[in-house]
Amino acid sequence: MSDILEQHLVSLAQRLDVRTDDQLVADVLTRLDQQPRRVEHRATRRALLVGVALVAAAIAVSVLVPGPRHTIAHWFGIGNTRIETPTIVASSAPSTTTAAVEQTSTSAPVPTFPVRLDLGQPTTADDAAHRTGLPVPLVRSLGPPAGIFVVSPPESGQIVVAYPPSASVPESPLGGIGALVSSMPGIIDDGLFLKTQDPATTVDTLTFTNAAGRTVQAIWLSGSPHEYVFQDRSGNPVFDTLRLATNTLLWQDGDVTYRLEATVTRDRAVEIAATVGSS
Amino acid sequence: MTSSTPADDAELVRRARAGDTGAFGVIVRTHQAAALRLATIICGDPTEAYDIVQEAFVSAHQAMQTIRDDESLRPWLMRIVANHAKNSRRSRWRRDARAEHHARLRVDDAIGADSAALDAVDAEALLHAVERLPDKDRSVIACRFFAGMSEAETANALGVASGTVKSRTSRALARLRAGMPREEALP
Repeated sequence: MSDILEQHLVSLAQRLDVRTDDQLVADVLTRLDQQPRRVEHRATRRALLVGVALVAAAIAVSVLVPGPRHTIAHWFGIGNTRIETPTIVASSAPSTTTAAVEQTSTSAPVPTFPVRLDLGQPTTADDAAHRTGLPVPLVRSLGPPAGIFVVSPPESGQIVVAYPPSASVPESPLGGIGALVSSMPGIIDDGLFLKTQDPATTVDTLTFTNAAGRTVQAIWLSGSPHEYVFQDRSGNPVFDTLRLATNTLLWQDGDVTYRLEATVTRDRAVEIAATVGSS
Repeated sequence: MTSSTPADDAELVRRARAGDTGAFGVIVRTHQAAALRLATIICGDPTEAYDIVQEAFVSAHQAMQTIRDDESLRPWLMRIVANHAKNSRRSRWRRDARAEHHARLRVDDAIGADSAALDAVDAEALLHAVERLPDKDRSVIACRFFAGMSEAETANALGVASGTVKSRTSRALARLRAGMPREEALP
């Protein structure tokens, strides 16, 4: 510390009047003692949350909706991960990937896509939109996508557009991928969303103007987020995996939630998100 | 500030994961001072900081299984503390005027033996200047100088790039030097 101001800050920190006896230790351990034994495994935690939600929903559905058996049966599908078995290795599936790329009206070469993700077979933008009824979250500035996919959850499908690394979007820790941009049928429930976030994940809220000129609400997750929850159009909670486990921006426009996963700053993520769907 | 080595931390984490609450108590004792200073500076209220840190340690205990083997304990803990403190500040900001809390931070005059260049009046003024920094700048200053973290640890704790820590630190110090910290709206 060569700077006098920095020395003063260090000195100030030492003089800050904070309690450093064993009271905090005692208080924390007492709190831990008073808590029911916690099941630590992430999957089990998720299962518990799903279980609580399922019971509540089952009660609500049986009261409010005709044909509760059918609806409740649908509910019990929610917690099951229905992500397809990994099948994509671009070098082995160039023709379908090319179809997706051609859909974006570019003639750029098909990028390599050497990672295995739970995305299933790539398809075309038209097919993805037809199957899900969702907008295809294309980002022109990221160039031709490596693939367009329809995955679950939810049962009705979500669209994931994969982009290769580029000068403006570095390779993700997973390798071979720059960004994943997705559209999902549903909205974010703040309370449930926060409950499912790892405490080591930083959650910030923000707004920005999207390509349609609308101000949209967004959530920025930094750190190593792994999963999140949204509500589908029936109000059912849907737990989904963040495939790149890297910085993630979620935003909502009407009854569609969008997601951008990329190892970029928040500002860059917003910049990308603001152009999703622009022509 | 109490210090610990990565080897100590790794062993304590291993024991705490195995259900040894005594080991977790040692973790709390080792990191409480840094955690309290960090929370105090970020949230601006020492009383609330105590509750925040208590809550953060409880959360950390529940999340102990998620810390990676190659991950340093301190920035991981401080990230949890910082997140709790930021959330608390946001909540409080919605219901109270921030100015109400400025006067509640205090420096301990009795621990000023080393501070020939920083008398009590200067210390109070500097503390309040830090408190008035924009949130992001203040969080970086809190990590770097009040929790004693390196640039890399601060980056890890705040979930930003090291370059961002460097630039925010530089900007915050410039504002403090200029004596004109600016208010910035909370998100």
